[in-house]
Amino acid sequence: MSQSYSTQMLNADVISVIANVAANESKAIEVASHIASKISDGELKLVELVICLRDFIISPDHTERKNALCSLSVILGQLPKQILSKNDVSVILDFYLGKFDDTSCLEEILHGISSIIEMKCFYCNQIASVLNPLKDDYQPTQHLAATRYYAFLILDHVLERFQTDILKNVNMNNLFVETFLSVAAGEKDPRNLLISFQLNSKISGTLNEISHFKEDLFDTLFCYFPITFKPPKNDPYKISNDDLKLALRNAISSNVLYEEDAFGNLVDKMTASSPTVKNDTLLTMKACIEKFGGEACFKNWMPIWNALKFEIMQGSDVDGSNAGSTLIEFDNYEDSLRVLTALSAQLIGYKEGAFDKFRNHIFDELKPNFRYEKDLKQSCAVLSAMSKVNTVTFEKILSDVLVLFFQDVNDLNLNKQKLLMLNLSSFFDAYIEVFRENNNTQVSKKVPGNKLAEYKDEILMLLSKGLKGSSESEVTLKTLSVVQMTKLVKMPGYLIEEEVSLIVQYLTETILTNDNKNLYFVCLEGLKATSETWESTVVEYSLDQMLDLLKNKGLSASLLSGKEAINAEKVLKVLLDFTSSRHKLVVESIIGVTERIFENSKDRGEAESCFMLLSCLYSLLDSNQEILVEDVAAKLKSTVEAKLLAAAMEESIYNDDHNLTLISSVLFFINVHTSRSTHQAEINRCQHMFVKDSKVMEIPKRSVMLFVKLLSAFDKTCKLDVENLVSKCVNLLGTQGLEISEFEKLSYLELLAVLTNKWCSDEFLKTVLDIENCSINNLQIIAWCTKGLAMKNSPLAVKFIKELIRLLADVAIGSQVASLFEIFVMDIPTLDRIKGIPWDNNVMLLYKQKLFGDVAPQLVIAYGETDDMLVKANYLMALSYVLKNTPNRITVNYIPKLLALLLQAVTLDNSEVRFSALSTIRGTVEQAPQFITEHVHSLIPLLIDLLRPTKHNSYMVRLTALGILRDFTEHVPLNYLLPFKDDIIAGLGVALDDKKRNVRKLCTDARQTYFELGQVPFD
Amino acid sequence: MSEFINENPDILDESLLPSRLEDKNDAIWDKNLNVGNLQRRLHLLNIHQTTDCKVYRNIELVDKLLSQRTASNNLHTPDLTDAETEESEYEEAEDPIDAQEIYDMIAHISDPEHPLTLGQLAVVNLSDIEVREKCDKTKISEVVVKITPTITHCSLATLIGLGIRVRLERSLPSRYRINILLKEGSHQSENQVNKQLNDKERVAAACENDQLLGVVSKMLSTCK
Repeated sequence: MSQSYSTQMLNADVISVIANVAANESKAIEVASHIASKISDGELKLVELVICLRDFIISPDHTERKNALCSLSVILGQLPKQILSKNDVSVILDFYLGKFDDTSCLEEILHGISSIIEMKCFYCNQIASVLNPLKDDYQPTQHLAATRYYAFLILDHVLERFQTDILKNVNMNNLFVETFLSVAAGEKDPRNLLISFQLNSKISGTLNEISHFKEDLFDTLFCYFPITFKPPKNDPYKISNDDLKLALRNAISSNVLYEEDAFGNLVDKMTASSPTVKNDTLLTMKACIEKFGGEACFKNWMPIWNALKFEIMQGSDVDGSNAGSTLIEFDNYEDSLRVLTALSAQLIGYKEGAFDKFRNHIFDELKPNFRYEKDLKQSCAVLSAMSKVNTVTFEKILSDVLVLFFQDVNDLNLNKQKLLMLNLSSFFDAYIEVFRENNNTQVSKKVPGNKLAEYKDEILMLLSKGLKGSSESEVTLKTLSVVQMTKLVKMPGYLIEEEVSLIVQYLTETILTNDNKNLYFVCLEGLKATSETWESTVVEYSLDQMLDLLKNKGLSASLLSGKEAINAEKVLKVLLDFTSSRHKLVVESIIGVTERIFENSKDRGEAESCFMLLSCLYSLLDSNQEILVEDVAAKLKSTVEAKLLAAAMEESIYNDDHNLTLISSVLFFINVHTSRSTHQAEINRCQHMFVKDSKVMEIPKRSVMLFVKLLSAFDKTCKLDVENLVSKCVNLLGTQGLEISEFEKLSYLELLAVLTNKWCSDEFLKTVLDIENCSINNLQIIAWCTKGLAMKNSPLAVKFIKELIRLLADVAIGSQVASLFEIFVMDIPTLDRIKGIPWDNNVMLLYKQKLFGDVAPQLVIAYGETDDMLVKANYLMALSYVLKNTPNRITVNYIPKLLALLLQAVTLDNSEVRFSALSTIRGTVEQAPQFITEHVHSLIPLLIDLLRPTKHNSYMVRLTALGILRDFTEHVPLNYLLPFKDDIIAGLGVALDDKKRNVRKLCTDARQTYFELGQVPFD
Repeated sequence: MSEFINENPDILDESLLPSRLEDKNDAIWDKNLNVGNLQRRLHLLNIHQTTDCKVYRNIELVDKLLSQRTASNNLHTPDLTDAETEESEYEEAEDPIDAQEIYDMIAHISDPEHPLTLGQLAVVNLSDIEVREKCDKTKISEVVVKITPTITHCSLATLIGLGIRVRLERSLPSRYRINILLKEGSHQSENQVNKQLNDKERVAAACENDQLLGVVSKMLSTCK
């Protein structure tokens, strides 16, 4: 022993390991590896360690012996594999083997042996000496699971290291398998089973001479089938039911020698009543079929088919009836079909004759079903499952089936048509499966001639007859036809372009003329699916047709196509629905609709149709912004902008408030997505067009709306003569006795908001705005400028707002000032922020929060300081306007301070104010009911009062008050609410006789919840 | 009750029960709209199917701003009241209480012995509900509901009737007299049951019984 590691130190360490093995495993391992490192460094010899342990090992006390052996085994486990000499290994092995009869220490002994086997100097001639005692002297049933685990581990290590040697030596082979069979007998522990299954599949997968053990090996496996295991809560090994199932399945399917036993037993298990067992059986059967190969399948297909047949035809979940009711993560019907496909694949791979025999048998059995129309769905599913292996199987089966299908195709009643379509459907799926691999990129590519193609005309006839030839009310048949048509389109290489275009026409016609919802959606799906591969066909035969329909003028009313009247609204709805995010369709629709607007706008009487077209165009742009990338926007700009501008000047659009707003917004969308580099030139062009040519800054003109929206689209870093524009605009609006319409005025005010938000400096604004002038006109100008400022969190906004709050105290104009407060927080589309466009407007994310934080406290203080009810009312109105447009999550923390004001606000004679105050209260009840709880007693009479149908209790006021009362039952503690139960039930009686049905409905619900309030839950 | 008296009744699918067609006007509650604008809102709804889209909100805002500005300009004196001061201008269209509304109230009550609703079992049918409305709201109006038990010896007809009565009494204004009858020829002891169902004293007594009320509550818990 070297100097650095003395006997005392070793003794101390050994004692420490012994002390810890039973109690603190990690500590023991730590010290053990310390000792092991000493051995591998040569500072300590194995003999010295054994000598050191000797006293313990021969101790008469079980525990002491056990711990000592355990320490030794742990230390061995920590040793590097090449350290021990040949002599060391054989000595220590003999030592362990000599101890084999000490049953109380068997776990440690096996552990030690399992470590020794991994040593480099353990040779194959020593295997027998290990295996023999295991086979003969070891009784697995008499030991604990942990002990048995090491026995398996030994076998595993042996097989891993000496596989080639075992293969060479028949005796060794037999000994190994026999040992395994003896060790694995009667095992129950999941961890051991897992390793046992793995060993079993390794044995049958790698060893040669197992044929005379095959039954025993199989029996040790199949006695566990079907395995179920629920892991305990704190399972240290993290073994799941699926791990075990999979290991067992792999083992069963690991060797073709098991074929006879496996199939026989599995077919027996198919008679089980539990669906879970059946599913496990099916999956195992499929694994066996795939592993065992064609020959084995050919021997066994008959019983397998019979078992499957029963499951498929009589199975419980044929109709998918319990698919919705319970959550089952498997589907025996589908899995049975998959087994059939696998079987079919093996047989055709084995030899064609085998498949033919299989096919003929099944087909003959199913044939009567077609004659008597019995179990058709299942029969077709069976045949299609068999056919979808490859082109050969597909051809063979289809040539049998199609003849049957189409023998009397000419006189079909409705029911037969439906059946035929349903039957064909599963073969369409098979077609898609078979031909997909051939060319998964291009649907339009050629596929080899096939049986289904020969019947293409008949199939198309059948489907189009189903869709077009049946009466309007035959929705199921029509829906079915459309679904099948969609499938045909999806089938690679099946249809040629003319046929697709025909189908597209059918679908378009159907979607436009039929009012059934289901049919609408299947047609929509069909068109969408078609446009995935046949986009230009869809554009030509569907989109262009629809745009053509819009051509017919004559207001919004019906347009004639053939005989039937088609509503323009419907065309536009379909257009919006099916273009969604398909690039070409969107662009084509935008161009097409613009064209219609351009044409229709020339006619004075077409304001209504222009409105509909414009709203559609707006939504097309709004909902497809992600495809409006720079070059798309540039292309659109060059094709449609000029037309839109021209249309905007036509009377039917120019003189219509809605139309002019919408067309301006459309121009905004197109411009905001164009390249920033063009913006400066565009701004200059706009200025020229509107300021210089149209002189919008000198006389009020409606076209200023276009100017506003365009300016808001362009980059805020571009140069603009903003001071000139702002002062002209302020002057224009301030002109006394000016002839100006409301729309124009609003547009100019919006212009001011945009300019102050994007370009104007605070300093200039201070000089141009006259805060002393209290005319309402001037105050409006200030309010709108303040909006622009507030949105970019400018300090000037705070100053202006303070001024306006001061004016609320003015009895003469206070109420009008109050209504201006809504402007600050109202969401104006012109000042929207567009996703991904940082240059358009200055919209600070939290501006509303800041504004609310500024305004609300000032209002609360001012409210408290005055006694004049009229002035108080002004503060309340201002507050309610701000609250109305501010999200609840911002306001909710401030509510305790506002609540007193809100309670007063609901009694003001203004329905808007009442509604806004109620909405805030309602939001608080939902999000922070703790603030409301203590005010419940004062709120309830107020709310009940608001249910009376008076002038100021508008529909929305009544509805919201009812909603709050109902929400109380969910959010307010029962002890606060119960005393009011009877009052509320009585009070709600008023609303039961409300004029509006929705109010009555909500009242009934609310009343019901109060009747049940505090009731002990039944059962 | 260990066995159901009528194990296999005919069942209607929930979606096939008669229901009120969705009234598009309901989505638009802005009462300041003129006829032309209302027509436009309807167009928008037909094309876009929802009020929750940008174009709808856009139009709503334009209308609102314009009407607000008009209103505030017309006011010369500060006024806290709504723009229209004339009482006559305030007139909401009335949705009358009709058979469908009564049907909606009671069709979703659960049957005491099946996990199905009375509507699905066709115990209550739209055609068997009658509302006799008096124009004068101070007079008593009447609602007659005729129920059809699933079998002629159904012992639970009284319980079903009681459930319907409780539901209607809770949901209808007090000016309605509620009459619940068995449909002619649908029950062996039709007269007795009818008498029991419309006897105020007996109904009141039944409602005092907590256990019975619990059963009724359970029946009503599926109401929509």
